[in-house]
Amino acid sequence: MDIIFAAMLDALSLTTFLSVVLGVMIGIVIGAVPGLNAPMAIAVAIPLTFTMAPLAAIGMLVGVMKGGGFGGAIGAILLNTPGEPHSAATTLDGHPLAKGGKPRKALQTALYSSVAGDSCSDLVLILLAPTLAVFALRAGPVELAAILVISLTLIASLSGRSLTKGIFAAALGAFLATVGVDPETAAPRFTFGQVDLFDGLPLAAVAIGVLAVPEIILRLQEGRRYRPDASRAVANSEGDDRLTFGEFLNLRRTVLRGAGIGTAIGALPGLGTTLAAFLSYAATKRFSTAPEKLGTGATEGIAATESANSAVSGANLIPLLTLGIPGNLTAALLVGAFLIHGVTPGPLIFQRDTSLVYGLFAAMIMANVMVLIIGSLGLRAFALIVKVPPFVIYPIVLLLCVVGIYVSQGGFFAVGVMLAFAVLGFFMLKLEISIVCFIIGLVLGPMIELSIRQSVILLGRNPAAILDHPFALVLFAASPFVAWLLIRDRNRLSDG
Amino acid sequence: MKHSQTLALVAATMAFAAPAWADFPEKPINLVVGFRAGGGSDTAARILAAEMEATLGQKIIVENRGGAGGAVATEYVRAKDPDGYSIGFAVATTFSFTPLTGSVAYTPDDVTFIATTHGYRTVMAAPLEAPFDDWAGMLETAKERGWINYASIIPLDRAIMQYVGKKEDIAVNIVPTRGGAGARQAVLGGHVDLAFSGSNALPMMEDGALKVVAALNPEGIEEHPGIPTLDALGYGVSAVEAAVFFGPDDMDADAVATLESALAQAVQSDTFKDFVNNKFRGFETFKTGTETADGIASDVRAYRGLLDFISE
Repeated sequence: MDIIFAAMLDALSLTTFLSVVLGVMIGIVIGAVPGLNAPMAIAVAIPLTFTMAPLAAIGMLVGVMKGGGFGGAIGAILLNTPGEPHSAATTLDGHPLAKGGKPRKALQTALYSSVAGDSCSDLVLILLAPTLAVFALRAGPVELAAILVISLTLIASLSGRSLTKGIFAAALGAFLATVGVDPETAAPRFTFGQVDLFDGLPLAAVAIGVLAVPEIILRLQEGRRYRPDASRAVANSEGDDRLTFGEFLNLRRTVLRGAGIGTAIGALPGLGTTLAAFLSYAATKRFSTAPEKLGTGATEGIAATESANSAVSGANLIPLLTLGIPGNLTAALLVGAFLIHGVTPGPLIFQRDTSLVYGLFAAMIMANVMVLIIGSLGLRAFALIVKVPPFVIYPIVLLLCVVGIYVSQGGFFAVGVMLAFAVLGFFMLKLEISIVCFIIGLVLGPMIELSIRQSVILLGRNPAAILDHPFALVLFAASPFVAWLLIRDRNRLSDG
Repeated sequence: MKHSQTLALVAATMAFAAPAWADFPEKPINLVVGFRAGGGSDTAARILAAEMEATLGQKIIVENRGGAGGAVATEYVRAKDPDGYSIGFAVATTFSFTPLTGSVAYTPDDVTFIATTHGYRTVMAAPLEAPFDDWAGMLETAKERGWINYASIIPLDRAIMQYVGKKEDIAVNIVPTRGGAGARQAVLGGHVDLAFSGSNALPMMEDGALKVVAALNPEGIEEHPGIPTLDALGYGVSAVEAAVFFGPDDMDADAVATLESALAQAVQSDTFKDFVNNKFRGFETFKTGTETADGIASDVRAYRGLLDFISE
């Protein structure tokens, strides 16, 4: 115990503190810029840490990770230009609220929910990591397939007014996600000889193309006709554009639910932030007392997605530290950084690298506090973005998207992909086909494909072994029931 | 006035004449890394780039173009000018195995090899609760039960396991996983009987989290002589993997020589050695461009034989 406190005190040195602060600032800024995102920020920051002391280096990267988590919400809320697929969930309520004249309130909700979700999952990590890791390991391909199927069923309730259009969009997303090398045979699928497509369509390029660019085009169409409307004038009179402590307390159920979902999803490697964000949103819609308000600018919606996707990042370190299994791209980058700084993830990490691991935990808590402080200080400045006329800000945003995708996703090819998908997104917007469902299909499609194919191979010669997976069987059996419930409550849940 | 004009003229002439006798490199070099930023391969490339900067006195701009096991970077680099200012970093199998799968347009003859800087070690790992402790035990289990579940990461390890299955007459259920993380999860969770893994399985084995039953790289695992290589087990196959620097076809010979000697010096640095041995857990090896090309040519023959045997 003494050594743990000593390690935590160690972490409170000025260098570590400054690196965490620097990391958080880099993370918030890069995360907020459309086209750039947290994994990219970490990839950029890793070489910067080569010469730093291990704890300072890891503290800085953790700062970037957490700052990036909140930063992503800024672009999503203020400009409707999410930098990552999971931020698409935050745009659902975040942007309507900001547009409705309450940008600060939207950002505050995102910030507090994000930090709360992050802190909850960090606590779970610090207290329960080794136990949870053993539990998480037992979830194999069969269990993952079952979790994905029931999640998809739950998320189906987000399909908007037309179920048919929602299913079409999700199927289109899943189909486009099959582009790339077949996981089983390594044969290229739909790549048309393009080596660039072997690892699939560049996800961030597709997401930004379909989500952000059409929005930019629409805003530019408004062009100079744009005048601040009446609701915006209200916003200028401060007072109303604030989240009171009481209001945030009312969101506690939503935030805790989001944190729980995020932590569970994060502890299971291979599921990821997008699933957590949408699952939490769907659950909130199901249990909300006013589900019809979700999607129109409810703070509940922002709290649901931000608490969940931030909670993933802390919980992701559970399989990462104890098993060396990164749960997503951000975590995979951290493994590399750990290696460089001489930390080998593994079951003995708590004994072998005690001081570093507990120092890391201290740095994580420090980073949460810093996100809260720096985020709060920055809120006023960020919120001003909304007051900049669209014909000034959106061309800049478009430029940033192009540059960001060029840098992070591999050159002009990715920029081309982004622009092609912008056209698709524009038509989907006009035809009122759910872009959210498209993104969900795109992100979850390959996960479902892989886990089901793995399950079939594993059980192929011995189908009776499915009985060894009671948890998966329960989930599979529950899926039709959940679907029935959702269809029954459809009228109540739909916003139309 | 007159004087300065003459000076300008002289300077201009010198600038034009320069390429004829100036030393390569006279401007920054672009290094295209075939893997995403932050991983073990990328880190090694960045350490080497920093060392080379010191030797060559020029900036080396590292650019990541990950994807398809180095093939994306290869396609990108080979379309560049062969003047030495655009070079790439990939692995041996990018050239020795990937072209054999028929999915890329290049062959090892379409690039110029500059050097091999360090080797990778790969192993077969098994869960701690596996009913066997060594390779022979694994085969026995497979024969008794009739099949074995195997987590594969790349086409090469898949081909090797198919080869083993055919030789030993056992059914190998090949479970595809996405990257090293997926395979590790499968083996630690006991969802498969055997999995391919990079050297990151070694510290896990030392921590007592899994078993390692064979090494795929021909050199074996020096610090654990008890782990047999597939060669020693009598299969005559191995996975030769190493970090390779390359450039476009017909690269300027002076540039190749300069880069090669800069790399030869870079691999001697303490930072790099420490990284390769203690962090990456690969092994030290250095091959010149010609040696690399020869090695890859012989790997191609071996892999072709392997693939022919499987498809027979």
